[in-house]
Amino acid sequence: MVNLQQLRRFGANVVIVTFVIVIAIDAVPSTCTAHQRLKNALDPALDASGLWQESWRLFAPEPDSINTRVSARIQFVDGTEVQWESPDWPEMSSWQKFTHFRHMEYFDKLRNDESSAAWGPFAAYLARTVPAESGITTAVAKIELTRHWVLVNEPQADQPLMKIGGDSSHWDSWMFYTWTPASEGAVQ
Amino acid sequence: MTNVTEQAVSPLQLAGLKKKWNWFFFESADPANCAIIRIGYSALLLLMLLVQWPDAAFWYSDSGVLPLSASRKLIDSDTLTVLAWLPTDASTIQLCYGLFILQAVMLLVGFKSRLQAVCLLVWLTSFHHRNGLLLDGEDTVFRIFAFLLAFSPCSCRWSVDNWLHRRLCGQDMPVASGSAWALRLMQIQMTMIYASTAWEKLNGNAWLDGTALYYASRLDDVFGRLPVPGILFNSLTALKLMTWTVLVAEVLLPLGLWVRETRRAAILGGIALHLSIEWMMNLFLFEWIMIVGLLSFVTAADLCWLRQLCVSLIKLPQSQHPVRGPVISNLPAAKATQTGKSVAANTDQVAAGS
Repeated sequence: MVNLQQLRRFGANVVIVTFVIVIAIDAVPSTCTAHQRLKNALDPALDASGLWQESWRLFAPEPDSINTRVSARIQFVDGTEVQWESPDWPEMSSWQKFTHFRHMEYFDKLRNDESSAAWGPFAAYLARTVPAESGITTAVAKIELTRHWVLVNEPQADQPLMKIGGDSSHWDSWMFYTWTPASEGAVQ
Repeated sequence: MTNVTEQAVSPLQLAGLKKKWNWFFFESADPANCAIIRIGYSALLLLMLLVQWPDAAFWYSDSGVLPLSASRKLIDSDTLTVLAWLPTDASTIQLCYGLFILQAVMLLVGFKSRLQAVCLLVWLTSFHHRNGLLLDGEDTVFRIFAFLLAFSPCSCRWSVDNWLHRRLCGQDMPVASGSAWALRLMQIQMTMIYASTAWEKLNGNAWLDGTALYYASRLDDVFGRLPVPGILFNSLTALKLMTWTVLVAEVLLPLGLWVRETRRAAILGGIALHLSIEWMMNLFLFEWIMIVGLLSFVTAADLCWLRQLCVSLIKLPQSQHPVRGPVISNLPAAKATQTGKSVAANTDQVAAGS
């Protein structure tokens, strides 16, 4: 006769074995085709349960080597313009950076092409919330989103290193999305 | 033909393996440690939720930057979020977020902790899947640890549940023998994080050639939390040495945390690594949740040892009273006495896995 304690022990063993096998497959970087197939097979269940973790990159295999910003040129129907910019991180205090950490993640991902589905809603949010300079509620005619970036140069032994916290003296820019009230789609 | 014993033919025996398995998962883990993890975890979660509270509608409602329909295009279709089944307006999001905070508080004080852990996993998963553009490594740690806390006796100490039980029955909540196996899974999870990132880093040129910290220290968003010595970060040689130190530490930690002779050094080294990163970089709560995860390896004996180490370092007279670590009711050695020496002997057995 199986008692409750034996049943609990059996259940615990099932969870232990399942958890260890699952993280051994999911958290280890893909090693071969078979491993990747196992990862793919597990993916739906882990996604649904929220227990997905994938490989722990943590500044690996290569750390980022780019500093970025996003800006928006908001044109109102009366012909005026307002320039909106994402946070300037070096200007922020440690506490502000702490409280704005999610903004850091959001704008870092928003600029990427993989996040193109988020561009329209973000521009629409700006259209709803950014006032014209006059302060009078004015309809928005067009918004242009631009990404800005500075690459961190490869260090050279015979040259001074780039300054700590990055060099923001020159930014490259690319206008990547145009929003209008009439068409919510992208106009590249 | 030489007469050989069965043991000499094969050192492996299924019965022995089963015994070791049961000892490792069900007999050697300290339930009190689960309570420490519960408190550290929920305090950090609460801090995270409070910091983000003003922005909840901005990030998660349809009046914010990412309506539900757009967010579903950005995330794997297998992911689930209860927020998809609720109204998407700001008021509903604020209400859900308020409940989320309330349940984090209840986990912190230890009221129906396992139920709270399950609910927190649902909330965490739902908010994470609602806006995937905000996610970072710490969010994964928070989700996995909520799952593991739900299986642990994390209310056994320092909790409202235990206080209520004491008032009703006059004694602490009984902790079922072998109930702390989830603590071992937390340790395995932590080991896997270090092993995985070490593996990834060993595949990266910048980590092998020593320039990884140069690049990280030139990022204007995450770097520069508190002042750092310029002499270290403006010298390529120093940057390379620091990069390789981090790499070696992360390669050694997965093993060092499990070896009897090195485990204390590994725990302290891991905590020092996370604190130094916290000093330099703005990675929100990642370093702190990793430190909480490392606490899963700490035993009562370790706390005694650390106290004695501190006392000997600052040369203060030692207390005449034995140091009281977390009370462990179901471990024979700890039950007998809580002095540093006897508990240390027990811990060494734990670490040795025998």
